[in-house]
Amino acid sequence: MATQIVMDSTGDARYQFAPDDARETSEAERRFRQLTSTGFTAAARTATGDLRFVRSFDPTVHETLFFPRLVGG
Amino acid sequence: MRRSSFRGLWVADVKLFSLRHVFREFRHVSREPRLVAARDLYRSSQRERTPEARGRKLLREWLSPAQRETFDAYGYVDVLGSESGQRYRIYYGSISNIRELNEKDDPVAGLCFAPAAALPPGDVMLAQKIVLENDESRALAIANRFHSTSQPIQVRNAHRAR
Repeated sequence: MATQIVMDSTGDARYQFAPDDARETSEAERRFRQLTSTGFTAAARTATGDLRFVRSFDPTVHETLFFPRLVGG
Repeated sequence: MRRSSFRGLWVADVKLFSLRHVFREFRHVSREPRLVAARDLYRSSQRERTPEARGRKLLREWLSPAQRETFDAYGYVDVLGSESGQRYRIYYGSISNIRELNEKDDPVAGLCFAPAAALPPGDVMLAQKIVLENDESRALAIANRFHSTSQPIQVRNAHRAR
């Protein structure tokens, strides 16, 4: 199972999907597009533990984290 | 005898005695190790559901082992800027919580940037860490920089708060 983690006021919301399930993957891709189009940044963890930005939907990524647009304080 | 002459009072006394008995029994039962363990487990699960606790959990999950160790011990996370290699220290908090460090680990400046949403401190710190480690110039372009040679004022052990 792959997980999309979206930061929110409760801490986070998690959405799981099976990468081999077309319907669930399509829903995950729709969520990815919707979040990134509204300013969220997507990041993923690599197998070595490094973090990297994700510019397009990749169903093979085990965990994708979304955080809102950044602003100066 | 007061009880025999005032039947109502006697009945009330008996009821009161019964209630005391029940409470005493309850108090005794409530100290049962299994019940104490169940109660502690319930309270612990309630604590872990707060936004702050969930934010801390998410942050810890995404930190490197060394960063997690530092965070657990001191309540801050040290990161290296992706382009300059500059060291930054992200303290537990959401506002003005980043310091640029010199080679002696002394703060030389403060940075302030955060996600534009009401998020718990753990989430804010994680977003700050990811951006500084992967797109430092973007972070610096967004951030407000201010003079600071001291660490932010923090509630002691807030990063461990239950």
